[in-house]
Amino acid sequence: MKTKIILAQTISHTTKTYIDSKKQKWSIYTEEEMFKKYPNGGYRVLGDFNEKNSENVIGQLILDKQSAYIQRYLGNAPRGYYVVGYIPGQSEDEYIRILKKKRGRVLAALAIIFLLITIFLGGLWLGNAKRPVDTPVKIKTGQLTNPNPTNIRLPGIEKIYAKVGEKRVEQTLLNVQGNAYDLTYVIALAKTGEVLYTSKTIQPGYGIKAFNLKRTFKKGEYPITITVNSSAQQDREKKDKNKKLAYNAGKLNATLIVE
Amino acid sequence: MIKTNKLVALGLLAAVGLNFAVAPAVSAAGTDILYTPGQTSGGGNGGGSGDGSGVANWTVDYPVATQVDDDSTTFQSAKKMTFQLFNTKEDGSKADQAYTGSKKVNIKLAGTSSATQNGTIKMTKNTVGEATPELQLSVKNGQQEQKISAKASASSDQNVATLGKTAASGANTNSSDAFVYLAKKAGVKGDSYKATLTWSISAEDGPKA
Repeated sequence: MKTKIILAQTISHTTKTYIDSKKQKWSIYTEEEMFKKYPNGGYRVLGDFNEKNSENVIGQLILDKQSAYIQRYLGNAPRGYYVVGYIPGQSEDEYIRILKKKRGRVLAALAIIFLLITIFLGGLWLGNAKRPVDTPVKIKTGQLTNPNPTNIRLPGIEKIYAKVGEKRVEQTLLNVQGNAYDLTYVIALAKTGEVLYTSKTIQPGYGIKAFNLKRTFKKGEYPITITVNSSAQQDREKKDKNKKLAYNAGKLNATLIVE
Repeated sequence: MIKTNKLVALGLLAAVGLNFAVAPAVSAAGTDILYTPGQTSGGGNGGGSGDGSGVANWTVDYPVATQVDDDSTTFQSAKKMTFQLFNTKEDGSKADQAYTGSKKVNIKLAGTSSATQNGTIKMTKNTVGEATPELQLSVKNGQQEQKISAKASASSDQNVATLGKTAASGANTNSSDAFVYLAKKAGVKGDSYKATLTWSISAEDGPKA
């Protein structure tokens, strides 16, 4: 096919410039400027700007030492493309149109996916942040797993540590895997019976990693009792709070050490 | 278009930035934790068991339910309950986890308001009835029965089992039995009865050689 040479113009009354992938700069009119310039139409599009040589190329666009190809005019911008602008040709009212792929949509889709992930993770994070410190978490107990469901297996606790003026205590309160009953820990001062902490119901295989005492303490050692009450899961499911459950409790005698 | 690109870029930056910010908290929350002595330091260095944690190096097994049928009316026909002591260890190297530490662990019957003047414990019938059955808790002293007298006061907890390092020499005692039977029957034949007991557990250093 015989190709024609079109000389592009450098226009001084527009600030818009299109830079192609070869870093070549082309003066262009935007679509808005074209509409103002030709409110009733009356200009001719010679072809579409193309940086590569292909079957559809019908000519070459030259401006000083830079060049590009012109391909057959595609009419309305194909789906997924938008009009960047128009390069004026050598004759008046003749232009080369520049089309470009809409990458914004892909980026926008990616951004939406990222935002959705962020919202999801953020929700989880907020949920964790708002989650009480003593929410039971799953804890693997390995060989401590109880093989005998008629017994409660209870790891001993002799000392619990707290800091002066702080309520938070880092101490595992565990219901080992294999226990057949839910456990509830109640920590109280041995002398007065004042309850310092009551745990949530802990299912077998779960434990509490930390909790907050009801009040702070001065430096010292305080005898405490850690009573571990048992309840059967089926009783909890019945939600019969008035039923007196006949399950034995363990009461660990320990010391709260405030440092 | 430039504005759109800037907005998109800002959105991406915000999303990536926030993801980095929240990722550690989320991953930590979903993790299973392997329970080992020493992990719950609690700010101190003495769990009283030489393991450097707030968790003791012993684990106790105690009976969770006290239920007696009406054919258990003597020490000979009593229902057995077993207390056991294990190491709190997770190293997987021990097939037998019987306690090997130096602590002596005492298990007592905590004082209960259900105690009677006779030292027995008032029970609850599985079926509704008027009379109140009573439970006798005993242990073996040699081949003889030694009755445990229940008291109402916590200050008079009665010893039921002594486990762990109970003697200066020799192997640890890691298992001990208690027995329960009906000291006073009530209701009709075939009934069974329940009692709620509290095992008071405390540890101390065992005798040294």
